Amino acid sequence: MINEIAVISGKGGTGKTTLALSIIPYFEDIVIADCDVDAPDMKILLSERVLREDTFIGFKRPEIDYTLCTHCGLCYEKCNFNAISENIEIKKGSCEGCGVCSYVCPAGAITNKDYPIGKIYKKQTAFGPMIDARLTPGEESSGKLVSEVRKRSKEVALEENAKTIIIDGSPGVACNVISTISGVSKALIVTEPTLSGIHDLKRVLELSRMFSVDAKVVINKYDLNLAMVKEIETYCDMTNTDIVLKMPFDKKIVESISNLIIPSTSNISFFTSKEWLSFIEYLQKEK
Amino acid sequence: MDTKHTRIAICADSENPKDDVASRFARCEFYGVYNHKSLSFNFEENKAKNEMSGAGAKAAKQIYDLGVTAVLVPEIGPKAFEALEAFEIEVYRYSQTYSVRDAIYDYYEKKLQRVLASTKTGKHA
Amino acid sequence: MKIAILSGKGGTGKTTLSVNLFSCLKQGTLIDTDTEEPNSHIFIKPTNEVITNIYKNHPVVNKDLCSFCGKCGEYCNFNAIIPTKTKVLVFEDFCHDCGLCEMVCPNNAITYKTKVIGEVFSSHLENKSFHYGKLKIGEVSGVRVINKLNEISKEDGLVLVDCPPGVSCSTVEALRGSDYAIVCAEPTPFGVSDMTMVVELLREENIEFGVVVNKSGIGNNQIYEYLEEENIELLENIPWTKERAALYSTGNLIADKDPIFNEKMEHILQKVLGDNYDQ
Repeated sequence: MINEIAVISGKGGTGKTTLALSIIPYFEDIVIADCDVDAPDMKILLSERVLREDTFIGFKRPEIDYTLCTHCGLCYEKCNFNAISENIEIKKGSCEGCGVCSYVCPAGAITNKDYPIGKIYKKQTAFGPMIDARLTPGEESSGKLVSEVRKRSKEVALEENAKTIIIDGSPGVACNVISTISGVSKALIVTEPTLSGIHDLKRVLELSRMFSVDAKVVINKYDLNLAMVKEIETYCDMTNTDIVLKMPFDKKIVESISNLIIPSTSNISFFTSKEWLSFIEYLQKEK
Repeated sequence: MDTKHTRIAICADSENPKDDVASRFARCEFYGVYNHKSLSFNFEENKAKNEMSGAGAKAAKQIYDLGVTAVLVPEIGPKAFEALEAFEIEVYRYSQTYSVRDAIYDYYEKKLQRVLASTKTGKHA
Repeated sequence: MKIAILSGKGGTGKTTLSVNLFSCLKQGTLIDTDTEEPNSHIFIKPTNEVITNIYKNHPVVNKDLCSFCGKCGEYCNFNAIIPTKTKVLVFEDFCHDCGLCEMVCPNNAITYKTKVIGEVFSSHLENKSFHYGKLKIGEVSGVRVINKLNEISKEDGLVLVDCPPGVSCSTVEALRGSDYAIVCAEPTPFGVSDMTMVVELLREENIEFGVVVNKSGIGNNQIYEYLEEENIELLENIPWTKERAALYSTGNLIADKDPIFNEKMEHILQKVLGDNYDQ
């Protein structure tokens, strides 16, 4: 069975992508899945070659044939989202794709069309194949696009006989995250020792439990506030959650990223530590 | 051998019972419907897999319409489970990757866990 | 005047910037529209909050009138209503409250029931108002809550909007009616990459904007090159220091304890508000 490792965080900016990237060099025969479709960043450090690009379709959107439209205004009246103006123009940003306007139009002037909301890519990187995607700015975040990234990464893994899929997830607590962690062998929640970090950790843990995913916690930049680390430890203890790694804040890690080098391949002492290596060992283990 | 269910559905990504089971319920490619009376498989394309939201609920309806009364799944979200429960479809979970046929054998050998209301939190509906 | 504060990437300091800018104002309103993970209240520490419920409707089927024709399920684009031969299932969380099922039902069997999907917390202190929204877990969209926040603050003179991270439709809703946007960016390759998406959105929405580079000194100069290439105004540079990070981590307003930081906040306000800034 393929070892799928997902890295998520409730709050953004905790170091999720940095961690996901740092794990990669320790695995052979991998596929990388970047499920952060709002901000796919894995590609920045993985020199990539695009092999395939597909358009991704979202909810259907209405299109008005103005040669048939009688300007009766019924669609404007019935739209619950203020997505049609009084001049019978569709306000793309407000439309939720419900289909009411096309249903009520007495002149049959409105049809529902497939609407592209993003792109999904298959790429080749120095470490193996990668699937990532980009949601067009302004579109509704969707678990479906993330599901598609997961699905394709699995297909590629089977084709190439890969043993591990490393997944960079979406921040937040919505459908994207659910699709990121569904059915994975290991899920890591990256948090930071700040009030905001703890607040969001609790919410994402709740979500993982809802989906029967046994998520483990990674505390990043732990040395910035040891008192907060204690709070996280207490909370995890109370909820039977394991903390599998504590990473210190190291300017060299940020510098490494800025130089487009995966931190764990740079000359940074933390990555030779026992703590880091046992963490990797844990990840490499079969479930 | 358990004869309670005439039709059992299982999540699959191909139409061959020798191929591996799927790893997602509502997003798999096919549902393999095993008919206990005729001892044969029939594969139906999953109509819910491309839904933007509510795929689980739509998949449950499709399975219900196929006359299935038990389904074998790798995982199940709370809403999908709610839908299956409302359709009175029993849910069993497999936890390894093996062939569709082997999963069905496991079901009959009572090796699969029945899923009861374990993932619901009552926060919605 | 409405000023939005946003970032493509999470964790760049958007909320830090919003709450600290707000603390330097003599009057004004701050709305936190990150309904999935609102955080500004941790720093503002509001008291005497008034809670406004945000509602959404979902269909209820009258079993006596329902003929199980299945039309509602056929038309619903969100799989929120699933009819079967003997009953009709409703998934409230998926329902977008569009009204279509009621329209298509041939037997008038559908009516609507209301439920709370989120809350807005409001507080006032002297000449300032603070509102933040929270979406209940499981709900698919915070747009309704953001709508309410926009409505509540519509008549206020100066409004700062702490936007959700990313560039999804929630962010678009939060940006509605903004006169100017402050983009909070970090000087790392991730920061630059994510900024380009925000810039794309702001240009599409036709909103004037400037950039604050936060946690500067920890990355590289790529972002400054990008700003120059794209002719984007750099409002201010805020260097990362361990002290600032520590203050943030314990929910403190950096501007209260760090005079240089405070000065930078005032500098930003001056640039953005011009004559409207009352020091």
